[in-house]
Amino acid sequence: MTAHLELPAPTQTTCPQGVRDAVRNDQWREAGIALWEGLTCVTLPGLLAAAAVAVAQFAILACWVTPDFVSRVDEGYLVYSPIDDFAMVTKLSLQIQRSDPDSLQVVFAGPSTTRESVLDDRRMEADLESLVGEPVRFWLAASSWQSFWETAAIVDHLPAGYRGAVLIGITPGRLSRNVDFLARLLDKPQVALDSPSFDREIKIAGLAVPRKTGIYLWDHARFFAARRAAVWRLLWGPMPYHRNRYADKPRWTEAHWQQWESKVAARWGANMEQCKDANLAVLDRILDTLDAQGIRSALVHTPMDEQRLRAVGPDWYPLYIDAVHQYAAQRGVPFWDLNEEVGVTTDDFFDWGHFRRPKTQLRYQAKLAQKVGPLIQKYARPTP
Amino acid sequence: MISACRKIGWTIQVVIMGEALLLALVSLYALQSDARVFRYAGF
Repeated sequence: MTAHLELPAPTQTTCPQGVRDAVRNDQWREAGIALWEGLTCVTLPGLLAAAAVAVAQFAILACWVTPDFVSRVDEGYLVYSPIDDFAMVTKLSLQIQRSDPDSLQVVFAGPSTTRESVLDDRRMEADLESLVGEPVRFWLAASSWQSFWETAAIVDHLPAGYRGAVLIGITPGRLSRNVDFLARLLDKPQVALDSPSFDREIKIAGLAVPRKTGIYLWDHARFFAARRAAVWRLLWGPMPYHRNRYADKPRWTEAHWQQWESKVAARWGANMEQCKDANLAVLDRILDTLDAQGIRSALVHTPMDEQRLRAVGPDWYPLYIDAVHQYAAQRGVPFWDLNEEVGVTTDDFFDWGHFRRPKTQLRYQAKLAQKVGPLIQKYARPTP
Repeated sequence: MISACRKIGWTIQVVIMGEALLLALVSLYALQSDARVFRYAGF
């Protein structure tokens, strides 16, 4: 394989140019062959070293992907798709946890109808500041199908000494979640949050709490593995996240309703009667947690096309309405239904509860700010 | 120089195999656990 040519040193002036080139070419060829042999010859030490490299790389990743990192990373590198609310809520919750507890804050958690009820967070903050005389940080921690179990996890991320209020969006869907839904959350976690309240709810539901190692990346491996395609964004750049996604979309036609009505009714109607009390009990424990920290809370009946829902669920929609009104009265927690005050009409909705008109969203959030202002007034320290 | 080239080749091989091993393990885990973003069926 190796041929040693006994030739004069290339520096010798007597050596012809052609011979010198031959020597050089031959050395490069031998070096190339050696490089190729090193690359392709698989040995046991090589395999062991490769395994060590893999372990080291995972260890570096585990040290790098921490809650602190996720709270700071551009969400465009985290989201699975432009509508991945779950990654966004994870990031927001971790940001809330790291926020200054001394600043006045409002967290609004809920499902997609909650998400679509607020269009402009900065305008909401300006409205609140003008009401209470102090800057207010507003966080919309809303995600599709968010259950009270996930809200409990979000609430666990309020910083110690949190000054402000927590608003919780209420919908029929939230009262009809069954234990199967929680089991699916364990199998396919929506959020990557370590939460004692969430773990407590798993135990109460009679399910096994997943073992924790204390290594964030490892404990939430399924959440991150589901988003493994995000690795390619390191090459192609971040993916924009779209929070309000029904703006100016045409309303559902009757054909759409015929297609979806039975699903809505089956999902919510079938579970409402047997699940509403258990879900309200989860909500009750969330409010207990907030009360224990001296944090004011309010329930917000998120925007809904009531006329349509009463028609879709003549048996379960009244059950839901009675249950939430009764619960709020017994608990003594504010329950705001702003539909009438805002003057929403059927035409404002994309479907049963997602606003499709930016102007309606702005009207709704302005009215919501008017309600929130007095709720957080007692925490306010007006600037002189 | 020949020996150095062989070592460089071996090092590149180890790094590539290490990367591939990690990628393979993550993919295997994702497949085995069916890790994907949860969709609430029907909606």
